[in-house]
Amino acid sequence: MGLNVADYHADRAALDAFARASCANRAFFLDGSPGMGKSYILEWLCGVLPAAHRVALVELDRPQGGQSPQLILCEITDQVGRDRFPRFLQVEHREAEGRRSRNAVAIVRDVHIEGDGNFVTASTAETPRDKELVTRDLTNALLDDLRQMSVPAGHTVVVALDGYHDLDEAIHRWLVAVLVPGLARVDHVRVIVSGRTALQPNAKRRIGTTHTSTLGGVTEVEEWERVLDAEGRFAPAEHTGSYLKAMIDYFEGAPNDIMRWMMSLPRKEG
Amino acid sequence: MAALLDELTELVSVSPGRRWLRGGGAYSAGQLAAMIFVSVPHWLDRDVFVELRNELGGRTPDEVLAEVTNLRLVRRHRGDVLAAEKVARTMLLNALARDAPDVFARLSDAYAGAFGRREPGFGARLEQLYHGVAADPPHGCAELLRAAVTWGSDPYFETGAVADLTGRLQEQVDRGVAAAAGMRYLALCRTYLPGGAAAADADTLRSALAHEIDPLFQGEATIRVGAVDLKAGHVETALAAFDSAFSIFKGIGDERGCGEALWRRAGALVRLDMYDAAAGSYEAAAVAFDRVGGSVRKAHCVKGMADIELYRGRLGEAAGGFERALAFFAPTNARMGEASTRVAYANLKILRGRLDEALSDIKSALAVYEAVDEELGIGNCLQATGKIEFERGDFSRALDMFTEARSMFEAARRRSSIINASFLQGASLTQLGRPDAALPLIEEALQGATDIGDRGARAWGLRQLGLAMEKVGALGEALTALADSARGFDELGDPVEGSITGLALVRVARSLGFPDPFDTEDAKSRVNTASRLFEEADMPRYLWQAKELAGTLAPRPANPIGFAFDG
Repeated sequence: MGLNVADYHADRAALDAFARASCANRAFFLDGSPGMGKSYILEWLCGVLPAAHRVALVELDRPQGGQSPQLILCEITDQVGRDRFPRFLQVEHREAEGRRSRNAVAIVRDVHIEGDGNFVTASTAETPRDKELVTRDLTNALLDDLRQMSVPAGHTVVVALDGYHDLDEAIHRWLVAVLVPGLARVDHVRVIVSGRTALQPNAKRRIGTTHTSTLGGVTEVEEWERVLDAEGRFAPAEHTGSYLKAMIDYFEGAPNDIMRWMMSLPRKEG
Repeated sequence: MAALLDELTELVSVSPGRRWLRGGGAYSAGQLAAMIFVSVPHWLDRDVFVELRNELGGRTPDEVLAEVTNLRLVRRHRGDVLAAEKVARTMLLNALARDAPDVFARLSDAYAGAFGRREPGFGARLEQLYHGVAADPPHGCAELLRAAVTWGSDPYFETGAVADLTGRLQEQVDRGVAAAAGMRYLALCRTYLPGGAAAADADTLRSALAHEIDPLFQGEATIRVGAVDLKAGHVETALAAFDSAFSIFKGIGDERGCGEALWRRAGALVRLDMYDAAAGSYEAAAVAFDRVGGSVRKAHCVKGMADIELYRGRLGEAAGGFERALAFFAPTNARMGEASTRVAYANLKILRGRLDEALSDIKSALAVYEAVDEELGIGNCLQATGKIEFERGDFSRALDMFTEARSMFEAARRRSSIINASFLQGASLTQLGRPDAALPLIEEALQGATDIGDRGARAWGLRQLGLAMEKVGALGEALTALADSARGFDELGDPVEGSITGLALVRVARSLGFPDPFDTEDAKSRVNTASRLFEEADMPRYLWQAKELAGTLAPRPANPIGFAFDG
């Protein structure tokens, strides 16, 4: 999968280098306002990395709701391969004992509650503290598995956490204090966090060797001329460059907005 | 009636609809209508859209989805889920709800139906409830509350799901949908979120109760109002609220609600030292929770009953109750409940002199509390460890533990716990030969116990006061304080603590030559009763102390004997 929008060449190069085993940085923060193209860049990275890299791209901000630390951990294990996480599975199984099956549908009065995929039901973790303890056990098991994981020389496990904003307070604290620093401490793991402001400076300081890229929009007219041409559309104006420049300025370089506008332009004949 | 997509197309053609979308002037009315149509839910997939095929006019679901996808009007997420960009979606829906509320309501109704017919899953149910609020506000709000209560309760405790539901309701309220009723339901739903119960505004809930006839709302809001009253120390008012909530839930056959009301009623009754009634409420609540699979709440009820047995000095029954509660907690992830049961059980074991067993329980609980920095729990563990050191005669170390525990209770702002820690500090200082330092500490804590109406703590504090007075040689004052303490435990129906005080009372009375109304026969009777009780309750050390004291009650008074522990 590649980007068909105007690209952030420098940022993409930095991200690509970061994902390689030779890079000293352990965490990469991709900051940028909504619509700046963070998700597209992450999808691009996952597509271009050689197959021997293990990759998990997790949407933190799921439109369906129901986000939780357990779900995020399950997303990582599902994408990297659940059989590579024996300790995690063991703890997950232990945590599940005494409660309903993860995929069972329980009907309490007229309300259906079920585990669709990884949505863990009937946790019986009564208080926020109980949930914190369950999450801690599962996270430690996952980090143990990652430390023990055999990865081909010169390759890494890339965990990309996309959409770090508007998160529930408990999830936020766990990500900042436990998961991201924990992942960054595993030699062959590279963790990427993207969001409006991917992490606060204090959290970045705690992790140590990090890189931050801020996507401020693509404002180069020639980039968008290339995209316009690739999409087979044309600007209804005598001077395409000036026309594009006005729209790029109006949208402040936000790729999603510019692309949306561009797709509404008339198609070239033939 | 025309298909909704056609209606939308018509709408954006004649209204300022094109301005709803930034740069929207570049789109046709049909494209804009499609964008609005897919923006109504937070997400959708092909299955949902197929359910809505009758609303698409002459177009197929695939044609419409392809158009909005190709125009980049929606984003594709994992699992072939499509979602409109948040900013555009918010803008479009706010405008639609404002300019064409009937169309918005019909679209919401259509989506509620489509998500409801989809294969059940959390995301679909959440979306169904969200649209239900806009389609039919009174019914939708009630349905959303029902789901929030169920998901937030035993055995699910899915506060994340409740937060999602509350967020969805907030979104509709912000949009001007379900205005007044929505605000009332929102106020109630917020109380289920972490920290929400503590921040609950009783006046808002009381006022809401006057407007909503939904019995679930009535029952739940009444419980919340009672909880706020209980926290403020208005125990009788709280009790009346829990009774009322129970009647409401009973009327609609809601076992979970009945259990919740009874459980909270039991807690209020304990605060009033009405132990028989409290035990009955716990028992009934346990039965109700059992019927709806509420294993954690049932474990709490069993623990509550064991606490009451402990308060009443029935140590054997209490021990059995704690064992049962631990067995109920074991298969759950309610580790905080399990830890608090272990600490309570450890306190019982300390009374019985089983110090190593008690220490093992405390260590298990402390590991749980320390992992999550739970100050109150850590304080309780430190305090129980201090009691073990006290029993072992290391009063200096015990004092350190009690002091550290007290600082934890202060951080957690738990007044009754601070009072108990102060008494224990006082007891340690007395044993360390510093009764002058102990007395002001005990007196201040006694005042605190009186202020908050904690009769058990007051009886216990009076014993510590008596022991400190004895140590400074003020035997008259000591006798008065100990007699008050014994009377307090009698009134509370706690024969074990009453007998422990009784031994000290007899000792001091004997030192004073049994002033009126005390006499040797009364003292012997008191000590013999205590001996039998300590034997039955398996408290060998206290039994030994009682027998020692009985030996000094021979016809000629012997020299006073000091005991290591009268805590």
